[in-house]
Amino acid sequence: MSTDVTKIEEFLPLYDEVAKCGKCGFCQPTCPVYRATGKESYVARGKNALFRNLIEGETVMEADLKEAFENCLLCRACTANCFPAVKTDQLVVAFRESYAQRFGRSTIQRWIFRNFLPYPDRMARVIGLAWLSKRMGMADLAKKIGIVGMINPKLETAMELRDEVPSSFLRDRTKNTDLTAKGETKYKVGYWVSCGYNYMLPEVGEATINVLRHNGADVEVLGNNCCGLPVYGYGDVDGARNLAKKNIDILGDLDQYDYIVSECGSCSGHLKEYGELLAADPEYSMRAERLLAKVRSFSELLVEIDAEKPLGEIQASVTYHDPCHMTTRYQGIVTQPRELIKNVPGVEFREMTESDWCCGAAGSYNIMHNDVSMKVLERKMGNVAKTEAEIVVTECPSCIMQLSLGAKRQGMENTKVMNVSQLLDESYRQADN
Amino acid sequence: MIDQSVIQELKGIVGEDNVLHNKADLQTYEYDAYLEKSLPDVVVFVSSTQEVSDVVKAANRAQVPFVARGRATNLSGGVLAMRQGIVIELARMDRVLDIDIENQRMIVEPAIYNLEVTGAIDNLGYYYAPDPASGKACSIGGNVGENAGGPHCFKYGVTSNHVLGMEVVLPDGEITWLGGKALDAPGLDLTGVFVGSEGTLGIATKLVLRILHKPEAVKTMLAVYDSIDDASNSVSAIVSHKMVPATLEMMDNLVIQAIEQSMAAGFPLDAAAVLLIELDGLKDGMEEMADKIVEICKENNVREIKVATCEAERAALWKGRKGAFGAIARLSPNYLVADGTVPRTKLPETLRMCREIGDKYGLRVANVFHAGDGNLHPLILFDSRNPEDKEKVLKAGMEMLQVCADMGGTVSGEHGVGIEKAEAMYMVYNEKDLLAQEWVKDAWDPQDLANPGKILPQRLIKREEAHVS
Ligand SMILES: Cc1cc2nc3c(=O)[nH]c(=O)nc-3n(C[C@H](O)[C@H](O)[C@H](O)COP(=O)(O)OP(=O)(O)OC[C@H]3O[C@@H](n4cnc5c(N)ncnc54)[C@H](O)[C@@H]3O)c2cc1C
Ligand code: SF4
Ligand code: SF4
Repeated sequence: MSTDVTKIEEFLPLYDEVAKCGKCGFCQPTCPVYRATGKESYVARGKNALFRNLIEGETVMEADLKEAFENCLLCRACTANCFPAVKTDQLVVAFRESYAQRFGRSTIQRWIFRNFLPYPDRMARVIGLAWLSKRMGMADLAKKIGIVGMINPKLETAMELRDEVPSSFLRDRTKNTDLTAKGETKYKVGYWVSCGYNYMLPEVGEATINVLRHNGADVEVLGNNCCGLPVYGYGDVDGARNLAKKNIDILGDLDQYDYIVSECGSCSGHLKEYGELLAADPEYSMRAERLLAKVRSFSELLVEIDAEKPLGEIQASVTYHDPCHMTTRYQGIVTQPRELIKNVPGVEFREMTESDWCCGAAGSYNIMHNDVSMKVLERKMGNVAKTEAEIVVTECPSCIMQLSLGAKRQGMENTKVMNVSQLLDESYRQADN
Repeated sequence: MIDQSVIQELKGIVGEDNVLHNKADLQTYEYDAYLEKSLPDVVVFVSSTQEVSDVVKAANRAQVPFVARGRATNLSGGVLAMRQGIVIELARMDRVLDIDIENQRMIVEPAIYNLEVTGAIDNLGYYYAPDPASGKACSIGGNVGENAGGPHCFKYGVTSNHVLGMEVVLPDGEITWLGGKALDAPGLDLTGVFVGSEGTLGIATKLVLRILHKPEAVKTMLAVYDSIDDASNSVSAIVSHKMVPATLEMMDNLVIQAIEQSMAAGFPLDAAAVLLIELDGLKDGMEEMADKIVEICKENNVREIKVATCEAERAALWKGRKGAFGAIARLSPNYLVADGTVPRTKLPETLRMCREIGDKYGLRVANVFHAGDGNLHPLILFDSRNPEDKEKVLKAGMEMLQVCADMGGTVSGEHGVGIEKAEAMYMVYNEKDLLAQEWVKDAWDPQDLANPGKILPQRLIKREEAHVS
């Protein structure tokens, strides 16, 4: 190992942040990873201690430290429960970035980050091939190649989970369909295509578009890339910045849209944080601020425009899981989805305990640290089960996939998992029929 | 350095994955909420009484010290492995074992969070009374170790009044029961000896708790003062009128500032002090008692008194109090809490002297404390990145404890002695008193393996030595 690993210059700007940690331990009870394992190196206090030791030269960057910083969902529950509000997630990403820079990200990973994520057509081809092989009964082959998992690990889990293979991607499905408002046009909405819905759950995207059209929106399916969040989570902050800039370029003149909406909490949340990500770049950070003014999560927008009341009756008990990026720790869109759900006739809403706890999907987490992720999920499913709700609603493709996996694992076959937009769509459709 | 064969043996007991000994892991077990560090040799996750016993027996065979770790929120260095050795990590023993409503008892494993005990019986109309401000993050086992207290302990008593019995792994690894479900076990009160022993007499593995019926009515008030003396005098006056509110908590201006900055609890920013007074019990007579308290406060120049009119308002006031220590973190990166107790009437004088000590060292001192018990918590603010600051803070802390002792009080209210206050034991005990405590320790732990180097000043390991790792 070269000697320069002892000096972690790039961490110095975070010294003030990490020094705020008074080791009180208040971050423990709500850290999903700590609760699943009890390991101090996994909780914010432990990560902060190690990070501080790195800065103060009490330890060196080495493989043993990696485990501590890998085991984080970036859910920010620690920060929310920390009086000095230490931004542990930022330390974690800084560590991941620095570690990869020193010891190298696997070349293949880097190659994928740079050569696929910024090119939707290439992505589509690879994932299309993988689905094809699954359809032909060669699921293992697709998995072995591993490329899908590296592009976005959630997609890989989804492939394993999903019994029927989607016949085509959302982008293709929307090509020759009517996207104009039903009735009078009130808004022009740019629909942000999230990878999860595009490649894995296209029917959710269709439902969302339908609901938007129902509420007077002319919808344009945006030509965006991956928002960059998975890359950021891996600690490839430069890669994430590149994707952010490219997306800002692709969206072009923002004045053409009244809103830009995503029913993926991670996408909408991350888009809102582009400004912070690009802070060092005056031009792009300004454009990111303008983007911020337009971006809405699905539930946020529907409540804001006072969506038409759904009239079709859905006789079911429903609970809601707050995706991390929708909670007060990120976007703070908490009341809106609940309001939308309760508005559906026939629905009996049941609040679940710890509804805003991470489900354990978090980026690459469910692949890289499967056992811990499954323990985090078990806690979540336990809380879902206690409500005895028939439907779990959420607003994030990863959560949908993870919760579906959880339902399957716990033998809760009758529990349906869906997006807020799907619930509304179903109700609108019933009323129309 | 611990022998590799011991580590192998430990792995044999709890399984390979439950033994941590690489440096990165160990560095996350070298601290607690106090200011010092000491690196252990190995951390062992246990999940049953039997495993605790087997690990302790292995430690005995190898003559390696061990320390029980709850959630490591103690403020006096209680879980630091001062002579290295084994950290016995109890985190995974956190279940509720039995709820016996008829007899108002509950049996829990040690690592359950204090607040989750009440969480488990809340819907049955019961609660567990000792309420340290750290309740959501500290364990019942740790509460037993430190004999933790909280705002409501003024009326209801501290942990020792609510833990009636326990299963204990003794320092030689034998498993035994102390006390039981009954309020008063015959013979010597060994439970009483164990509570507050900071892991130096063994490890509690099951605890029998007394649970209480939630009070019929609660009334929470915030009294605002322009002078600390007036607030202190109100406290004395309330108590001397033979009234026992559930809590009598005081916060000074610096704390108020910190709280308002971090969570807007509704405390007036320009007040010199506020008193948080809560009454609980039967509805009958509560109004009269509240009126009487308002009257007493008025006699003592209160500026205004707010009475919480609904649960949300009450919660807001408490959120401020419970978050006070944490909120201090907004003012400066670190703080030391000097946890001493004085007779109530000496409060104004003691507070003044503490402030003077702070001034002398150029350190800011914030006060939030259990005024009813005369239990002070001067928080001395500093930045641990500055070694000189740290030295000054430790000195100032000691001087404040000396003041408490001189006032006829004592040097530990509820945060334990640990390493922080071992030296301060000389301020309140003479050689003979301490010898008596030595005997107790020797009787329980003749090999001196259970959390060595704590509480008793003769056994204190000097900081310089402790740092070698
Ligand atoms: C912000 C903040 C606020 C606080 N407020 C209060 C307060 O209001 N009142 C109060 O009393 N304290 C308070 N504390 C201090 C601390 O929370 C208490 O001392 C608490 O009881 C420690 O519990 P723990 O689980 O963290 O124990 P630890 O710190 O892990 O252990 C404490 C001691 O108990 C021993 N121990 C742990 N488990 C066992 C066991 N099973 N058997 C035997 N010994 C054991 C340990 O060896 C150690 O000596 C506060 C701390 C912080 C950081
Ligand atoms: S809650 Fe914040 S200050 Fe307390 S230990 Fe955790 S990170 Fe540190
Ligand atoms: S971000 Fe979430 S998973 Fe990571 S340390 Fe904080 S609470 Fe734990």
